[in-house]
Amino acid sequence: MALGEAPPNSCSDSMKSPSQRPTLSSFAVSSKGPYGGVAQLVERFGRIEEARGSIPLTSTSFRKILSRSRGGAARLSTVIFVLLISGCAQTASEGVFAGLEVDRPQIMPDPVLIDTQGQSFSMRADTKGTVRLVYFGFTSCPDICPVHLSQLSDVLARPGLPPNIKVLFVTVDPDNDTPEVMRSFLDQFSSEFIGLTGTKERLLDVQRQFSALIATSAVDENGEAGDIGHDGRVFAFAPDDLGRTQYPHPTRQTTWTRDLPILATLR
Amino acid sequence: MCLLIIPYFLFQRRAPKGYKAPKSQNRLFIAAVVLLWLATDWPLGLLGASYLASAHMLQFLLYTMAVAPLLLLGVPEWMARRIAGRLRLYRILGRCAKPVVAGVLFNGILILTHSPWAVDNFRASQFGSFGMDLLWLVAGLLVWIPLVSPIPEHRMTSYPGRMAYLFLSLGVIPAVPGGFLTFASFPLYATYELAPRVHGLGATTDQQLAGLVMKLGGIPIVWGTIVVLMYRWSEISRAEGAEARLLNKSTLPSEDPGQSITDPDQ
Repeated sequence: MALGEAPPNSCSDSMKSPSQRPTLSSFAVSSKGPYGGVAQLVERFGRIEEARGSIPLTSTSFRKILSRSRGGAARLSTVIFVLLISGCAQTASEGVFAGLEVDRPQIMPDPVLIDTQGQSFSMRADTKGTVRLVYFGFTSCPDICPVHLSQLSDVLARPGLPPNIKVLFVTVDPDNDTPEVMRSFLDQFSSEFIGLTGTKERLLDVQRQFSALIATSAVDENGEAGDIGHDGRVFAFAPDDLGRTQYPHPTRQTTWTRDLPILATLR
Repeated sequence: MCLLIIPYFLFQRRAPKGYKAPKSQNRLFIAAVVLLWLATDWPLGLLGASYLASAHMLQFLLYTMAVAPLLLLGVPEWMARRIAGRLRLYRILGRCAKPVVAGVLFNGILILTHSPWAVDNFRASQFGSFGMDLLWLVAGLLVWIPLVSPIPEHRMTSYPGRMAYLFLSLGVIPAVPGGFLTFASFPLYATYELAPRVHGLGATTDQQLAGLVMKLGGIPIVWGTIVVLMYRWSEISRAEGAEARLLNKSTLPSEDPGQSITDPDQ
């Protein structure tokens, strides 16, 4: 199954184009159930009514059911059925992941940077077999970075989530984000988070390798460097080293808890 | 704040002749306005609007449990009648003062304004946030009218009825959404979940705290008021009992002559 394609399931019929879909007004109820889920539901509803002795159903058109004197409840039930089915169709049209799925999965680059212990760290090789969540940010970021990291910290602390998930925080402000500064910043969220730094040129190259937007610092009226504009996405790589999804700001915890277990199984 | 305090004192000049406003009433009104300011302005207003679900809930509690009853207690009867008359609100207030209507309206507003849809949409703008605060204040006034309305005919007369109303509308029903917030496994409000953290307070913990504030925060006020009502009820019952005994005593001597006639011992 290609990525982004709806998984085959029982609701696939309801995803047909409007012209292909049988219209409700001309929908004949038969015991053969030629239209899958809708027909079966309507038929079941019909049998209930038939058992009550109110409507002989097998040869009654859907329009007739609606026009009966007890039609209030019937109409309401029908509307609920249709809404349920349309909800099902919507589910079927969703992808595998709640995050943004990329058209062409990318193999995780393997640059070597410096971690918060001052040791060289190979981003792919040193995290082999885990889900890698790569994020480019800086420690004095006022909003997006702390929100992303605290969301991940909250999510990863939840029981039942797979343990093989690594968060790699790559700084885009190497002048200020020394290994010590990064460690104390990341420890506010989790001591497990990995902080990575390097030379300016190296970090620019790493951002390009990950196809991230290149971080640039804004200059204020006095000509001094202000906040840094940077990519707000978290790049996710499964244990098979393929990057299938990205998570922009804001990403809710429900999205993370839905996707991380799926990513962890892709080996 | 000035829009409340200045008209209040200016209006008092038009009090009926011979009427002297009790000082305690003025104090209650000023206390209500001060609390309103505390709930609306920095820091609680800002935190509640954008950062913390628990601050949002504390604001709700202040508006509905403190500001609203104090405002009602601080307004004299003649002023309430004039305002209601000028704004042609008397009939509407009379209808809203029915306990079932007031209880349903308050809890309806409570549930609506704490639904994730409402919070995430209203809190997104200053105008929406102001609208939510205003709605809470109106809901608070509505729910307290049957208990402490300045217009006596809008108040409930029966003490057990008042206590039952207070317990149900302010004690029991708000605990249900409070429970949802406390026991929800995920943050319900995107506004607070995706806001920068305040003092490292996690989104889920903040939401649980908000649920606890909603469930437990009103308890002292609700039960405190119930205790006061019970005390007053017992005092009135005692006074009524004493009065009845006095009446009995005063009627007994008039029956004595008859008794003496029919007394078989004599």
